[in-house]
Amino acid sequence: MRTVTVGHEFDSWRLAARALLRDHCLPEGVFWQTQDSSPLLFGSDDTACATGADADPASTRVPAAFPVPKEFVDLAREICRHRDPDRLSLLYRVLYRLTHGEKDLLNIEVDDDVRRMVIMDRQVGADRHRMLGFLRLEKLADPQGEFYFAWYRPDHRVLPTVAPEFVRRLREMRWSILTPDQCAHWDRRRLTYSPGVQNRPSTTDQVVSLWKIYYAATYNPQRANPKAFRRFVPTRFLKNLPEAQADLPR
Amino acid sequence: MTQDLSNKLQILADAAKYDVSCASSGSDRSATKGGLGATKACGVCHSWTPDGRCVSLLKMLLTNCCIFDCQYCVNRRSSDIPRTRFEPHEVVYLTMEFYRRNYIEGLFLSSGIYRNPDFTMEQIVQVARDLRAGGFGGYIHLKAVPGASAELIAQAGQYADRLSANIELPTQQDLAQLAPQKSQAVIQYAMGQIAQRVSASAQASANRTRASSLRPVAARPPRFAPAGQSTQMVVGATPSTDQTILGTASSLYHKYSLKRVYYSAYSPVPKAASFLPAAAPPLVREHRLYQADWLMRYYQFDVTELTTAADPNLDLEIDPKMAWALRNRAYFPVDVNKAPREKLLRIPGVGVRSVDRLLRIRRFHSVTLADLAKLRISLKKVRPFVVTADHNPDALLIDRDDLRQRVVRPYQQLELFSANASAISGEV
Repeated sequence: MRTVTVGHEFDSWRLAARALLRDHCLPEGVFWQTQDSSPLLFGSDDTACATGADADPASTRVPAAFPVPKEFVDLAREICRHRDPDRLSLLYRVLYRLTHGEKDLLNIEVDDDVRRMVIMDRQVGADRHRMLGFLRLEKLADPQGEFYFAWYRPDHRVLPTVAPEFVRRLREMRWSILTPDQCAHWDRRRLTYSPGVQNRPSTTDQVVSLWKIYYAATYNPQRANPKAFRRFVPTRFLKNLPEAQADLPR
Repeated sequence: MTQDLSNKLQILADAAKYDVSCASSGSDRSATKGGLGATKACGVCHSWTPDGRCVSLLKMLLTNCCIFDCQYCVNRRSSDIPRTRFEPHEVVYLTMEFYRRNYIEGLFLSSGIYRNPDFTMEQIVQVARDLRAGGFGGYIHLKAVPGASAELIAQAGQYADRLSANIELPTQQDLAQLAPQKSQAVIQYAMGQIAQRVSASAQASANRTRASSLRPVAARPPRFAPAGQSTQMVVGATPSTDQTILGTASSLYHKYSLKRVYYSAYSPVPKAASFLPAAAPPLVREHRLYQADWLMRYYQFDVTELTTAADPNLDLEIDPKMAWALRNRAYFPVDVNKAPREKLLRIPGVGVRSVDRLLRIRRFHSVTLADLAKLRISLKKVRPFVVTADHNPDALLIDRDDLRQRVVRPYQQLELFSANASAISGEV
């Protein structure tokens, strides 16, 4: 069993996966972990791994790259942001199958591995889209002028793809987006990142009271539908939405 | 008018909530240099109210003062409600401050008819002009007031991502009865003007793209309402049948290339006229209309296939595609491994996305019933209508008299689910 330790970024996984393919490692002969995961209880420093039939110790020709469909690279990049600990081994298993006789695999969505990938990809995409909608900025008085911040707990590690979208939208403002994984900062010129923040700072932004008034007024109690509401706004996101505390008409 | 801003906001947002459109999709606009806001083609929902409707835009009236007396409308002249009016700068302030906090994608501004259509439209345009002049790049949906001058409509389209002129009711007779100051001719004239400008602008933009590969061209002219136009129809305030409603919708889609027709179940207004229904139509009716609308736009169904002369209303118990399938059993079973796309689209319980996935999968793999389940297609619904690579005994059910009972869920349960779904389809 070979233990492979990688970071959360796709490039880190890609380097490791390339090395494994070059060594003809079978997917079941690899144990994947990330830098922050707890070490394997009975782990070893073993670098050997079970190899497939195509391994030829006499061969000195090592391919520099392994051609895979662009679709796989796009999916893998996205799935690396998922929090499921099995994502790394799933990606390597699919990569191995794609490069070992199943080049059409991605077309077969009813294959269990492919289906798992499609679902994870969709979950990451949905989480990013939800963060675009549910993030709430608050204004702080700052000696250098207006400053805004938001605290948000995404399901997956989507901040690096969400922050540039907020740059596009809120380019003229200075802001920080804080999440437990990492924080993004925009100073009107540059986007930078820093370590995560666990708790939501408190503020006194007054505009939120107007927002609550709007939310209550745009609600039509004749059409109350709490089931639909809960489906669109999972309970864990409620505390991020100030309008959830609005005084609603009955 | 010395009410403070929050009071006005409460009144004018409450007055606007019966317009169901909240879409922020269809436009991809970047902020101007130093400006604020951009739009995304897919649209973004920022919240949901407890009625299951999405909140994407700040939806308000400029004023709820109205010279019209439309019986179904809470803001009609004869309605006894507090009246107020926003100053344009107040709307700009709310839009910008809400946008900065990521509460909204942009503004949806409508208005009661104040003095006359031109004056009202002028005020609406003024707000949009001020927002864009201030560098606002977010989404703007403006109500096109029927009867306003061509010049004002043309200006509105330069600032707005989307325009909408509401058809209000399905027929001219309905309008004559409930909204005597409005007429379909005037409303459709406004729609026609918008449609013409939208298509001319899209054409010019396409020509420009083609030309730009040969030589550099001048700065991009502003696109006229890049997200097109939509409309809204109130359902259930008059006895008009679903057949009439869908017929009107279908003809509007064809004539004016509308992006959406919204169906709004009539909400009983306070102190309504006695000839109006006292209760709202079941939400499931609105939901069935949206399903039928989707069948026309994405499933290649013709409006004449959705209802019959004997039964001009949609079946509330089963979805319109299932209803069509039960009326047209000779069409089935459909072989999911061989049938062309347009036939797959006719299978009850199989959506557009599932169809496209099936088309891709089956080039490499023979599709079985278990595969359909993996794609999260309801086997209970589809089994009687399909042939798969494995044995499907239910394909024999297609000629049985009790097929309907087999595919229908108990009514109570159905309503529970469809109310959910109606929230999705209604408020995207």
